[in-house]
Amino acid sequence: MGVGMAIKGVLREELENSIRMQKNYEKELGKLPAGSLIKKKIKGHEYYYIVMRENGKVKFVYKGKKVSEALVEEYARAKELRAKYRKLLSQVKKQIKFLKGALRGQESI
Amino acid sequence: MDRSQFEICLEVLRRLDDSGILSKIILIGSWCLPLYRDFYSCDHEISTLRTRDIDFLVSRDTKFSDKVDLPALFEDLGFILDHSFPEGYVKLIHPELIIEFLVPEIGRGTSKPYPLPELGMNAQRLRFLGLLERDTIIVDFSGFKVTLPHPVNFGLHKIIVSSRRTNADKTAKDVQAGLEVLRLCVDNMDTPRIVELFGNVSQKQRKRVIKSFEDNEAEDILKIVNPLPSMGR
Repeated sequence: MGVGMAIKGVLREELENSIRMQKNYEKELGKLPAGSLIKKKIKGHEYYYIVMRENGKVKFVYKGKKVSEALVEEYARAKELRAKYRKLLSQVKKQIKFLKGALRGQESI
Repeated sequence: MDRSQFEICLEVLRRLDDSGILSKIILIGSWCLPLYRDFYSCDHEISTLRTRDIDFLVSRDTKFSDKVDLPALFEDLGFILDHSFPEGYVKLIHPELIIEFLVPEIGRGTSKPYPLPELGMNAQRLRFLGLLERDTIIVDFSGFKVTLPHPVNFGLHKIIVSSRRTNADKTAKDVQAGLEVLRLCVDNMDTPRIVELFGNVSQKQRKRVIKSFEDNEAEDILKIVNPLPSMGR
């Protein structure tokens, strides 16, 4: 028992944490409404659409000439969180790679 | 300390402070170690080995005057809720920091989490946390007043819980942290306090502490709490 064991223990615990974190961020991303709310101007009139990707193709879903303030806010919040979660998810994936390497003795700590 | 982790931690403390929560909770766990060095104003080498968990102890008699939804408060920082299964307690997780609340377990005990509706969270119940809330100190953490267990209480608590761990890695980490903090206390003239607190814990706990010191060849600390081993305790 000693410092080496404590360090390995911390690395193992952190790897478990990061794996759980990855699953949680993926789950949270899945909960966010798909696509983005956009406003198109066609012949001087404004129309709202949800733009999303489906099977590799961009799809526009018509939402109407006017949408509620709540919907605009919901999509703005989702856009912000999606960007944040994707960034953090990428960070977590790098941590997992690093920790697995460190536990195998392939990473310099 | 990693810069981004430190910045996230400060932001968490700032928000807890602004919400009136920080003064009512006790920072426990490995984040206390560098703060103890500041408390004693010394340059004693102390390990900064720790996980991302930042644990806060909530006393059972704590009343939060205002309701604060912590998951919502930290959402824009990227924190999300992590529900443990099947226990049901929750943590706020982020790649740099994991926030968890703990309460002392009393009586027969239950595996159910302790609800903290005023914070939109719940807390994990753990044994022996009473030792940590018994004597506390307040330290300055980058401008925030943070309440911590007294280092002697922290050190003895780590040694006591280390013997109950089923995970050998965690046992090693607890023993290392406990001995390090107790040696810091000794170097800073807090030996009488170690003796006093050791005398106040149960006989079963005293036996555990002595066994742990013996197993880990910590004769320097062992002779403080058990100067006459032949007489037993």
